[in-house]
Amino acid sequence: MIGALRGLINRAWNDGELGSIGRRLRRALASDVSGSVEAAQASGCISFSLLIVSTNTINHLVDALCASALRAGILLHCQTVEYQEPESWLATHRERLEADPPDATLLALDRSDLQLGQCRLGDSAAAEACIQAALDRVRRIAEQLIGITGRSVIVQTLAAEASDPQLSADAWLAGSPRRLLAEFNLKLPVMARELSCVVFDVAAIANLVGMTHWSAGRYWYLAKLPFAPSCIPLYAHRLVQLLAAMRGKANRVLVLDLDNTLWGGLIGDDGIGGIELGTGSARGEVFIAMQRLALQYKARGVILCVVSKNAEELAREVFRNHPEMLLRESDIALFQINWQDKPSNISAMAEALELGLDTFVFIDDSPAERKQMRDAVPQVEIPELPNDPSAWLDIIQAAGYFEQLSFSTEDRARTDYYKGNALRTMQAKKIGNHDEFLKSLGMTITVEPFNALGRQRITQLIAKSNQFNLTTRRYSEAEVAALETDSDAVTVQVRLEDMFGDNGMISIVICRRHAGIWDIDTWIMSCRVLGRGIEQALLAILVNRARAAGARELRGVYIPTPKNGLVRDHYAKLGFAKAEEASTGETTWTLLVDDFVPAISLIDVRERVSADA
Amino acid sequence: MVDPDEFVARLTTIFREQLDDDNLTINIDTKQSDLGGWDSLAHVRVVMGVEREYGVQLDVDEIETIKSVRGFYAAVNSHAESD
Repeated sequence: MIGALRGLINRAWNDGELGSIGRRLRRALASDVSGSVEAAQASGCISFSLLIVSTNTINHLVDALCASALRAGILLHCQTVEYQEPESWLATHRERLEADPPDATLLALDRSDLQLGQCRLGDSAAAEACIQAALDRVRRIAEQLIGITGRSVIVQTLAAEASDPQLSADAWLAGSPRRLLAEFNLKLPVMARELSCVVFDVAAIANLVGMTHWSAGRYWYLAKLPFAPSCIPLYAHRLVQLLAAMRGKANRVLVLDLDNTLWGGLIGDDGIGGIELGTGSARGEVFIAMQRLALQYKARGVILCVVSKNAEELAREVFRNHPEMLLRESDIALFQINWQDKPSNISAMAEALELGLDTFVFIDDSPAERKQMRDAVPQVEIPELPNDPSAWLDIIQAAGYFEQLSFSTEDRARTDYYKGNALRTMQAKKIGNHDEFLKSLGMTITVEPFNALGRQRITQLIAKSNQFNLTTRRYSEAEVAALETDSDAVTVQVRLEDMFGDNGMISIVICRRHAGIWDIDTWIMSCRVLGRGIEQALLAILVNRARAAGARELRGVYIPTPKNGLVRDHYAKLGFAKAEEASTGETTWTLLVDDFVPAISLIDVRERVSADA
Repeated sequence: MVDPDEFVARLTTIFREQLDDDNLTINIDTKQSDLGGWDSLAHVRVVMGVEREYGVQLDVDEIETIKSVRGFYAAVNSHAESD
């Protein structure tokens, strides 16, 4: 049942279709006829529970949300609180929430809740106070929610309302609704980051469609719908993108075609002087804008790749020598320019990058190429594009690919990391002997406990890692922050440097201490650094620390998922003994500290024990 | 003029979807008070469904005064002619 709905969902984009699919889905989830939930999970779907707290109508969104979530491979369980003051609702439902906290809570307040519509005009001090009061209220509720649930809290920016004057004067007039809103929307995300809350930029979505389309009009007066029903699919889709990012399901790779996608015309026929690119023609300008967007994504950590049916040298020459080309060879992590079919090329890329195909977005002007890709690898996201490329950016923007919850220096340099990897692979081939190769890399790892500096990247690793992840336990940024000071937890974050550069933070481990036993709750490593002996070096550090703390045993568990088969034998390889095996495939492993034999390590270790050293 | 039988058939589908009841039946004389699930929010959801189905936009006062299937029929007809 759920599988069948999943097949339908990619063709359903209006609120009516989403609504009907969502309703059937919710029924299927609630009754779980013939184990369809299990079947969906086996095919890679994950469950997620969301609580939405609103003072307005919100129930009408639930069907569309569930349906959109299915598109992203999420089985969403949505609970709503409508027409209630969040503070008083929380006061009366505290215990229930504590006992069964949702994975995330969306705080959907509106302008009137925050009293941001009424302030004395021309009085900057009053306006300031008004905005601060609104921010303070969001902060109080968010803090309370974090305290009670211990999970992620999502806050929304505010869209304008139909009764806000939209005159030019409102751009400078202190206390005008538009200024209050603009300043609130600037300050809210900053505060949200401090609180480790997730920001849902509803104002940006409203801007994307325009106020005239966004406004609920009649439906606000009749039923307190916060925005027009026709915008429900977009709102649902974008909220789901955030949830997906929380669970490591955000897109991370952008694969671009070349001819008539990055430039106009065919390089093979028209030559480097004949293609349309840059100033001189309207189409040429369009492709420049497309490249600019790709570079923006790259700067945020999206990995850019090229797949094209062309002669490779000819195509690469455009990257090297075309004066108006914005994208350069160094911006692209992988080129697959050949005459093979694109699905095989993109599958090869996924393998080389060690990333799942469901993290790929593919942009190609040819409907036939898109169809072939969709049929062969349905996991890849492929926007359907009209013939006129000048309309593409709007479509790609609305889709909201590559949502991210945080930004770290690793993101800015991600393409370089992946390129460095390719260089290392070449060096490995050249040297042949693996140990010699590892020695030649001159690796140094820096190991320190979780701290505020590493918090965002740690949270990102926890949210995104699917393959080298022993337990796939997801923790919110707030939970990671709590671990920093938890005296029963032993945490390590690991950074790696080698002769090809800084690899950034590549591994984390969380242990929980129980009388003499250290339970390894989480062990995550970036697949980029597989096979370099990092795990062995890290285990030696853990064992030494456990011994020093008087513990006699390390205990690890492997919880299988469709994606983490890679680490099934992780503990066996490290010399642990299998203690238990459940029918689910979950295995428990133990290692006596006294039995540990350290492997010869080719890695220098720099260890910092105190949190702020 | 929209055919009344066809209208009732299409409206039945909308009601079943919006009131989440696959066995629900209505006829041209069904009133809001006859159906337990036809509360004010369900009403708005049905309106959304009708507007989508017939490509019309009902006025806010119309929406408030419609209390029956016949009311929907009349509203859709008047808009289908004028729109």
